[in-house]
Amino acid sequence: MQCEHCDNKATVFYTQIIDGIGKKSCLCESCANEQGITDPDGFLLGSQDIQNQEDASSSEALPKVEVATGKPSNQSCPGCGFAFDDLKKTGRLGCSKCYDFFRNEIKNNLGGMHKGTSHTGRVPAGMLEAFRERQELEKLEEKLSAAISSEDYEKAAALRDAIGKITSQDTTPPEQQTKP
Amino acid sequence: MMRFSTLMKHPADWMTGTDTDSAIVLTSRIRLARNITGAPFPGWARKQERIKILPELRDKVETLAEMKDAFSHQLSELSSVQKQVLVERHLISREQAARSEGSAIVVNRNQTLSVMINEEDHLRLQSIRSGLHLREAYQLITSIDKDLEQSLPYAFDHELGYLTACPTNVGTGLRASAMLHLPGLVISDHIGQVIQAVGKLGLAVRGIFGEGTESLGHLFQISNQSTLGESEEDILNRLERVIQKVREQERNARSKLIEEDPQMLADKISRAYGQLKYAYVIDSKEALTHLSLVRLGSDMGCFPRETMKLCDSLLMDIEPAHLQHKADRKLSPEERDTMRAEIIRSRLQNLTSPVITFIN
Repeated sequence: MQCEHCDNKATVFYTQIIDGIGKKSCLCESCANEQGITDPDGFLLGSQDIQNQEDASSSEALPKVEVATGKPSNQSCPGCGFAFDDLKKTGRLGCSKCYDFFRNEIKNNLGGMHKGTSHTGRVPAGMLEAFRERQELEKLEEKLSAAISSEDYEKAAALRDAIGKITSQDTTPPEQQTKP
Repeated sequence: MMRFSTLMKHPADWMTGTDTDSAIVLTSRIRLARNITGAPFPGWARKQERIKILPELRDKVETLAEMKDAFSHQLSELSSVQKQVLVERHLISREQAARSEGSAIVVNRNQTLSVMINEEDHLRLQSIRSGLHLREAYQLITSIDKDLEQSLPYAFDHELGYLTACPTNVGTGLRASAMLHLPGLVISDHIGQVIQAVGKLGLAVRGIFGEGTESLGHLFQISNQSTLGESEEDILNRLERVIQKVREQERNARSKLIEEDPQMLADKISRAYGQLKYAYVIDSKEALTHLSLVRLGSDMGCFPRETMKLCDSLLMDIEPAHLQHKADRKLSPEERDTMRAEIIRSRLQNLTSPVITFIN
């Protein structure tokens, strides 16, 4: 039998049951390793399939599957030309825009370094309002996606209204206000 | 503007330990890292870019009320000995001492506030106080920070806070630290446990001179590691609690030494006094070790109380760059050892033999 992902011979057979629906997978050893089946703590079996299916129907439902893989290391920050690989060499970033451009890569590398992953300290006076608004928006968006996935559409509609109210008030988006 | 010679002639209060409670916690230090949005961080910027941004930053810093008649120089204007002296006084970092054009240091008149421009970050604001006074130092630095944020577009992110060249500083950009004198814990061999326990709480312990637990002069620095996910208040609270705890343990260790082995302690303190008072050649390591014991003796009542202040000024004055600055020329290590002994002998001239109060 052939592996589902490549042309090698399938040697790993796995049956996964999610919400009562069984799904069989036949994989070669290297694809199985890649998907983390041999690692009981972290398998992502079928994530590729799920994403392929979702891509066909709606592209929104599983936004974060691919985050961990990041950008190709040869991409560089449009602000200063810094490539993420340079961080490994120098231990420093190129400019403040690097944090935007490599946000996910940086966040993945923050593990163990700090107590948390988001700022809870002081905010410069001119940015306080934008900062609060931004945090409020993020909270609402989180609640919204929770409401949608639990099919609480009434709540979702209310949340969407609340988000719309905040975003329509802005003359400039908060992102822009941090720039000179 | 303040001249280098003036800076040298009048050491800051915190350098000579004027705080009545600096027997164990010598100094408290707060540092904030700040950057300008849209400009490359100094380490990544081209020299021309650093030179270009410097005047704007320097002007904003120099016009702060706190910086009236400040010491303000580009690193390129200072000799290597002068730079090294500033490092020994903790006014600039080693990293900044290696820089020249496009980097500057501004120090206020009483040397409690220093601002490094174009070090690893565009701005490094630093405030030092004698004794355990993290909050006072933080208040001063925050008022400076609030002034600067009015006119400088800081790099700030809604999720990651203040953006810094190194991700280890991102968030608050706050590094708080204290310098502690822990001879009791070292002599009683409990320092390893203390370092481990403090490390488990997410704080870092480093020797000030030398490496790890082998710290020369029994001087250690405790500082926070994490800068993200915790407010400034939480960081300071946690650090202060731990420092108080370590101070208490050092106190206990000292009492226990007096109780269990007073002869050994008296021997160490008296020998240290003798070596310092009569040496003609002394290297840095030996001097620091003995000064630490005389300092301990002063806390235990063997010497007059002001001896501690004498030790604290000596700690700085016998460092290599300070010696060379005084001699006004480059000195070989052998010449330094001779000059070091000379300075120590003359400062201790009027210090009488230790009175061992703790042996009946």
